[in-house]
Amino acid sequence: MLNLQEKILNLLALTDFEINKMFRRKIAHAGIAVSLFLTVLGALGMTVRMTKRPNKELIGRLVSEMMNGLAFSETILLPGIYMLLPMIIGIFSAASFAGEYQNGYIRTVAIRPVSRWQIFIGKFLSLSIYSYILLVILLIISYLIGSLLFGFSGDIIVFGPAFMGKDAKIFIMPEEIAWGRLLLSYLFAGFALISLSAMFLMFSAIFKKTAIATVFPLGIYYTSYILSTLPFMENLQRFLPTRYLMIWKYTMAENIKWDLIMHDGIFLIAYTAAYLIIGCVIFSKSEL
Amino acid sequence: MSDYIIKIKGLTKKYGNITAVSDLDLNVPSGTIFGFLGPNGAGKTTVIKSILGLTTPTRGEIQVFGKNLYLKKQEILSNIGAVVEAPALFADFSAYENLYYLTRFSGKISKKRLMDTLDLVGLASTEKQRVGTFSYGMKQRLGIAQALLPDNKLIFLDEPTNGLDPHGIVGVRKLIKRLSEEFNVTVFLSSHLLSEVEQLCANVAIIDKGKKICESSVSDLIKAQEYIEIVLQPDVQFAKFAEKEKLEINREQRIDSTGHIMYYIEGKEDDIPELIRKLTAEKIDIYRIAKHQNRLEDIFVELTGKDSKSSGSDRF
Repeated sequence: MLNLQEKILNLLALTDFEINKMFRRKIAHAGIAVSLFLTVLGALGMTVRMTKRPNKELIGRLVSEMMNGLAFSETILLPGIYMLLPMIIGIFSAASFAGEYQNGYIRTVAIRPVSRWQIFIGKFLSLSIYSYILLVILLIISYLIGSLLFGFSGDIIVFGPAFMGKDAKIFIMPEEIAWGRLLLSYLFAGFALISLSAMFLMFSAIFKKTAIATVFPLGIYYTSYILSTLPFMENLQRFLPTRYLMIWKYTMAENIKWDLIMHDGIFLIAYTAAYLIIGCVIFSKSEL
Repeated sequence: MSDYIIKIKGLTKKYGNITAVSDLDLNVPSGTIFGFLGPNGAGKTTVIKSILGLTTPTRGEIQVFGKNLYLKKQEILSNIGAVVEAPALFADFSAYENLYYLTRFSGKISKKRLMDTLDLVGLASTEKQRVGTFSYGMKQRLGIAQALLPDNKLIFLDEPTNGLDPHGIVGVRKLIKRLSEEFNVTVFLSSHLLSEVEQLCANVAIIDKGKKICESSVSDLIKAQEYIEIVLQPDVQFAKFAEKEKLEINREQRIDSTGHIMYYIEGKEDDIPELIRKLTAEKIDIYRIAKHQNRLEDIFVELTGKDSKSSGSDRF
């Protein structure tokens, strides 16, 4: 029996292997390029908004006066984390697991002295790292572009309703705390992507075919997201898999809602663990 | 350790109502090239996958290196390598990187050792080339290289010459022979290229529809399929002679060019002188008499061709 140290070393070797494979793939580069595209397009939209009618409405004035690198980074996280990054992670997870299942790569690794759970967790860890890499790239690019176009720093305007629902208010966050809040929001956004990676991997283990392992979980995610934005769906929302994903938004309240972060964080960890356990069990029983 | 590197007892694998492998017993001698034959869909790959732990058998016991596969799976996998179905290697990595990453799970292996192995399979000059640009034969050789590392003494090759051109086939065949003779590697070779198995293997097992129908050394198998062929005039009452001498005629065949009849009778080469004496005594003219030895291909077709109407195979 291999001892624990060897198991951990093998797991690290597998994760390293996965990361190396990841960065050789064009799809990983495409994910980074798409994040860049979102940022550039967002900056362009914001610039047009500021120059076209800056003084005709309150929000327009606020944007033109208070937009800066920090505020832009925070603003760009919203569409990134809700729409773009889940799509990139979903497609990438299916390609790296169901895809390798189909073309036999996983079999080549499984013949080596590593267990199935090590292979599965190795893929999960590499996807988690990729999620954070995407977020860091989004943060750096959006801050640089935002800084160049709108100024490096300053107080930021927080559109509460966009983060905390329609009852929240728009407020000014002082520059002193804005940096910390920005980093915290990206940190917690990473948790959401990690949980999604686990869900996507689980579905890859179930379906074993790239096409369906991409479409089905992304369909679940976007359906849940759409339902959560529709009126009269309050009773359904608590059961949706997306319910606890957005814990990062609590860092953008006037006072950080640590109680909600803890509450949703525990559920998020539980969901992630369940996805991983189910995925591991199914993968262990699968024929390669 | 026993002389058998693999011992399988009662292996059965079912997929729903379909039985892919049924109650299979198999003993693979250590240090040999073992041919595992069967028509397409016979269950060869399922057996290999069961031994490698890639699929869970419905029942049965598998021992490799004298250890139970289900109790010591990781330990066993540390010492065996395989290329199953097709060499699935990482197209974006170089040949060297593929070996490096795939063998890291078996402990640290020096660069020299990796390069020596690439050299052994004739790929040393392409160590930095992306595997995505390799020909199928090169991928097959790289697959064999990764199967050999770190120091595996048992490797499984599933149809290793499939899809190769004649040069590739000869190269892989030489390599397999070299592995066995020089490096004492036991090779479990699944194939339906019978000439290949006949040239390479000391022992064979033949399976059909998931059941073992033969397990023997190649020489014994071919010897057991020896006949004597006699060419006589058509008007000779050979059937009466055969009945008197208790000879078993397997078949007879008219030779169109001469009008003579060729009889295939059961018997060995050593029986020929006595037979000539008896035929001469009976004043029967012999136009030709010789040993007839079935090739492995004939034996295979005979053993596996009994149900030619089966739709699950390539027989027609």
